[in-house]
Amino acid sequence: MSVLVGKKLKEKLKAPPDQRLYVTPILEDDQIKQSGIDLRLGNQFIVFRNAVLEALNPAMESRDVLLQVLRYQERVVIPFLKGSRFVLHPGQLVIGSTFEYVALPQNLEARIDSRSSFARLGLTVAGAISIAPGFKGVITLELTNHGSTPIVLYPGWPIAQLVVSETIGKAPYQSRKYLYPVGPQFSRLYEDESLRMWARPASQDIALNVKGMTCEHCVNTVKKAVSDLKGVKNVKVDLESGTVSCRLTGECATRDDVARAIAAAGYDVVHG
Amino acid sequence: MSHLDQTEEEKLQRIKSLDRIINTVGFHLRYIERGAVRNTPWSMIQCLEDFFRTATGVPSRFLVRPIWSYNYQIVPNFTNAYREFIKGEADDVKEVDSLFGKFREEVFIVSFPRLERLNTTLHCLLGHEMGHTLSKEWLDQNKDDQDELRKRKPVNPVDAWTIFQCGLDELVADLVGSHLLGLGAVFASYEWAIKRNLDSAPSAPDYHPPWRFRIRNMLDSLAEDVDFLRQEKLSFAFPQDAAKDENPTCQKAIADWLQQIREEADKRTDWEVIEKNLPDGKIIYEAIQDAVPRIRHWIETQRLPELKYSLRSSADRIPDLVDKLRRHIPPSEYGVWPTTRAADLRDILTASWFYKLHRLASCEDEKLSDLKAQSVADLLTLKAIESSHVRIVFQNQLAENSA
Repeated sequence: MSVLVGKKLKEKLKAPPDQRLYVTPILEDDQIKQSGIDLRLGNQFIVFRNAVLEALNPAMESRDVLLQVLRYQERVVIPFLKGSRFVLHPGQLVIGSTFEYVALPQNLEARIDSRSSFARLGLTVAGAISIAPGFKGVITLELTNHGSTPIVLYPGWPIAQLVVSETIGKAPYQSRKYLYPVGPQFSRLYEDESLRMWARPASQDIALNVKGMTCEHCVNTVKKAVSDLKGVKNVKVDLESGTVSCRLTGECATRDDVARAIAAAGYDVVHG
Repeated sequence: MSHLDQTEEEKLQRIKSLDRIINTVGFHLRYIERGAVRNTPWSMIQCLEDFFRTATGVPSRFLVRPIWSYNYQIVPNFTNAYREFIKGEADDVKEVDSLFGKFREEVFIVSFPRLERLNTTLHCLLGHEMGHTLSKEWLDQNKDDQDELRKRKPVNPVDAWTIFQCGLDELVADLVGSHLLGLGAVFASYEWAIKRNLDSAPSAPDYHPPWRFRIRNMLDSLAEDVDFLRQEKLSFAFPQDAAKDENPTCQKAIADWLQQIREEADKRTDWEVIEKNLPDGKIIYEAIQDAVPRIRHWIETQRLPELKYSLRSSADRIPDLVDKLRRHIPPSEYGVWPTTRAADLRDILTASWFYKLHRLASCEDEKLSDLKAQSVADLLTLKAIESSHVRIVFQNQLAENSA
């Protein structure tokens, strides 16, 4: 892999459509530098309402995280007017995006670099800097003010640089998380199933005493009610001792969920 | 005189007066409620403002707000109404005039259905809403039509005049919309109308003409575009690198949609409804229909001669934009760097319509569900409108700056 210099970048910008590097719109040709293309700050921001959450836990069930995220974030749009500005306070993280829409062909990958002049103010623009081949969209920027004074940002400022490299071979874009974004995208980490695996409690075998089971029909009813719960395995019902046992995989159902399912099926769980 | 020197009675009157102002103005606060930029199709607003200013020659600002009712509306400039109202309540008329003198732009409140916030193709209906600002002008200039209407001997001349004016108000707005935005305006009107009754009878208080009547007149006003599409066998071939067998799908999709609209428009069931439900319906609507050529002439040659959107003149630009949408690139520019040019708002909207019809007909976009694919296309269109507008506004300034 090698970084494309200005001349090569220009060639890629006018290549046939399937091989073309799209950066649109380029307001000034001067944006194309020796080893990258300057990208401008867009006018949409995601700010965080820190007060509404004690912690954001991407390992929770995705539906729950999504609800958290909706409460946690607020989208701000600043019109593209001269003088419209956004103030980034010390220590504040804000999700923004580039103004330019970028589309990489399958044989180019890219990274986003902060421009050093802005970095010297304490501003970093990107944490996740790698952009996969085949990506299409505006590029989400994680804007953080590491300095001790607020920084005023104006949409339209050339704030970051796109550094493009050629890959060895082609790689179609695989991700379905961030498809064709036109504004900043909040993390969709909660869609990663593998994260939840690490956060799950260990499996647990439980046994409950149940009253009211008198025949095989009762056994089957209880067994089905418990087996239908997500995250429950190895359900066994012993009619003689009145015991229902199972393994909770830690994914979803709890001991209380099992007891509720049995009660809903019409049988009494003996607590204690 | 200082307010402190006023008598108790004067103070009481003043408080009552202020209370009336607050109550009236407070009622209008609903116009700015939920009007935060993020709740609107924000990327269209600045562009539409500029377009509207060019179209009407009126220095104007839009307050755009979502509404929960499923409707588009425009409230015309209310600055003068406020000025007169507050003058009536104020001690110092000059002070009010001086204060209102600072408002150099007319303010229009545009409402759109919240559910359709991102439905860019449907927002072509905003062309009609803009047209309402010209309807008033037309009606003011054509008061003589009342005599013409009277000559037709309606049973109830007063009501007939009201219904006539209401009908023209809508029709002028429709014809302005289709003049400015071309087929996109007709497509959007039809998409809107088919969810309703195409033959709903004009009724108080608005007396809107039936949709079928309106769409027929809009479509007739764009006969040139329709003929162009028919005769040229849709020269909208995608660029050569696009798969060849997909071109007919796009052409056929547009032709089929137009054909469907034409067939619906050609049914005359709206006239039956008009005659049946309005005592003077036939007389009034014949008068309205007779006014259409004059309205079109006024729009095309006097009021908005420079702004007619013609498919013939944009035909060579649109395929490129449609192709960009197919590739999930915002259609904000024509051509390829370094010779790109900012795309025109009307071309972007037309391309978006053509792409939508093509996509629906071909079920293209295997990666995305139908709903998601349309949502992506809408967002790309919104992005394109913003990008092209920013480019138009700022590029020259940037060039001057670097020079």
